[in-house]
Amino acid sequence: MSRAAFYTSVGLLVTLVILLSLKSGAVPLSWGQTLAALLGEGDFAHQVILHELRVPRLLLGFLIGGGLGMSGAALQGLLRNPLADPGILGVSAASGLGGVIAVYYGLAGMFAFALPLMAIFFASLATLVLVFMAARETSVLTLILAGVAISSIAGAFTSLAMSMAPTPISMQEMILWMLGSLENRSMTDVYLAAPFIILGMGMMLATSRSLTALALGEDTATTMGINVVRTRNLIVFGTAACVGAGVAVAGMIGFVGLIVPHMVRPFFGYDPGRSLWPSALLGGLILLIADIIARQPLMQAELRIGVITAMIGAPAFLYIIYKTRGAMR
Amino acid sequence: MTMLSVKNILLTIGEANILKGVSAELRRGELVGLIGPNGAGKSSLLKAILGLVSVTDGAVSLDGEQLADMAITDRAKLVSYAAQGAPVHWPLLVEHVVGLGRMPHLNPWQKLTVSDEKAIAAAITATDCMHLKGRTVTSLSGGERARVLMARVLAADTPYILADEPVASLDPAHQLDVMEILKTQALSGKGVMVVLHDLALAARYCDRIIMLDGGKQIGQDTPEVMLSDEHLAKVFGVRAVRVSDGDDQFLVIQPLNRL
Repeated sequence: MSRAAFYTSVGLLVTLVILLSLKSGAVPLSWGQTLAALLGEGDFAHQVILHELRVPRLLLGFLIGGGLGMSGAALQGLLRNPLADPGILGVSAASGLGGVIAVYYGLAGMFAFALPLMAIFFASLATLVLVFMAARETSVLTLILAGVAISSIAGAFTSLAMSMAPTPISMQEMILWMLGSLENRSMTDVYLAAPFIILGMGMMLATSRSLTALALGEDTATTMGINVVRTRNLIVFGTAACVGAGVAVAGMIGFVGLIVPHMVRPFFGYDPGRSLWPSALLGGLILLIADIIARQPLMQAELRIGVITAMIGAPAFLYIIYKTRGAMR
Repeated sequence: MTMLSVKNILLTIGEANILKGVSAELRRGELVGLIGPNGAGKSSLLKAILGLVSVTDGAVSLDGEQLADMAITDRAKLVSYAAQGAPVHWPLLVEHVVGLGRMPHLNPWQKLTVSDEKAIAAAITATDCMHLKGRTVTSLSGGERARVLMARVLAADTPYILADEPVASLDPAHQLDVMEILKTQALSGKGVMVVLHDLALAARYCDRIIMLDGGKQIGQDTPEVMLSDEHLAKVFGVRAVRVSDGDDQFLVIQPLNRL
């Protein structure tokens, strides 16, 4: 198994999935109609559907999945912990709380960027707490328990905000948003999230060499000339930017960041530094696939994408726990 | 001045005085043993030299330059560190781990050059790890892993090497291997400081010994002087027998009983 094999297969799959993603949806389009509409020809309604709905949805799915995949890889590398993931560690829940506060107090209505900024701010707080809890080589268990605590705190305040919601409609809106979906997103959402996700990815990619050195522990990495504090800060705020921006426009989508790095690492010699970029690619791919499943006309309404990733991801989580059990003590 | 010098180091963490005024020197070309009971401050002294803990008072200088004024990337080119127990957190390939030793000499994203490849090959040969190439570090035995991690340190090719208990948990043959590797490095002109618990290994391999007790420095001198009966009684509270293999170079010290 090599890098070339990874990039070839993921590259082919991404191309295929992009085409499938543009074709799938409530209005069935043939391949010909899809391509024509994409090139600005054919039925005008089809063009609108493609450019106003499906292209933004595709871009958002790829960006958010990519951000989550890279965040998981960066956190696992930084904490040297194969179970680290923004969802499990409560970072997503915290940014959800930030989002709910922005919506509840009407900040999001006054200023479009308030939603992602609040989500990112709360995600940063949660990640900071986690990283300080995990300082000096603590056990996997401490970290996961800290994540449970952060999730619970964020969950409690989110429930409080929702139960005080002015109308049942806004409460339902918040609940649906929390479940995660890419339905009916527009280019505005792309413009809102993309800058933060790209910035966050850039911050994380800058740590790739440090993450490799950190495989030997913080002390050894420092003696190799790695600035561990800078690495930590870049990953904390890079993760928060990706997760916060993603949660702000698409709600909570769990488990992508957990599983993707595990699929990537064997192809890259288990080097956490080299796994960042490929994890983003695979994260994007997986979220697009989940979104295509969500759009299949099997159910009455569209499935929530967060529900799909959890249904696939949670059993995989159990499997990873089973595999790494020995190292957990 | 081409030496690593530690002047009157004080290290206080919270209420505890870990190091109470330690001064030491490490010249290029010598193997210096750092000896003392558990909790004497041996590991802390290494960490203070490496700048991993910030000292309360005192100074560390490398070839005449104050360590505190140096960028960590520059320090990394001068001193390499074999941490105690040295964990490897991912199943990385042996040659990849050894190659990480070159990191201080490379800019980010820079590929290994011919001289890097040479240093890596030399380190792998010196530690006898050739046959371990292609395996992951997590699949190795304790002795093999220790050699691979030592190869990583050697690949850095720094003028100074600090090793914290590199022979802990190794069988006698592997202990000798590691000491031989360090001795060879010293003979090739590097300054090597090594924390040891084994008095016999210290006596046999070290050019000089720095003895610590309770954060205080007992002295630094040749093994014959530092491992005297008085020192062993005072610092370790043990009595030792000495066996000489007809040649004083092969002095063996075996702790016999507590005093």
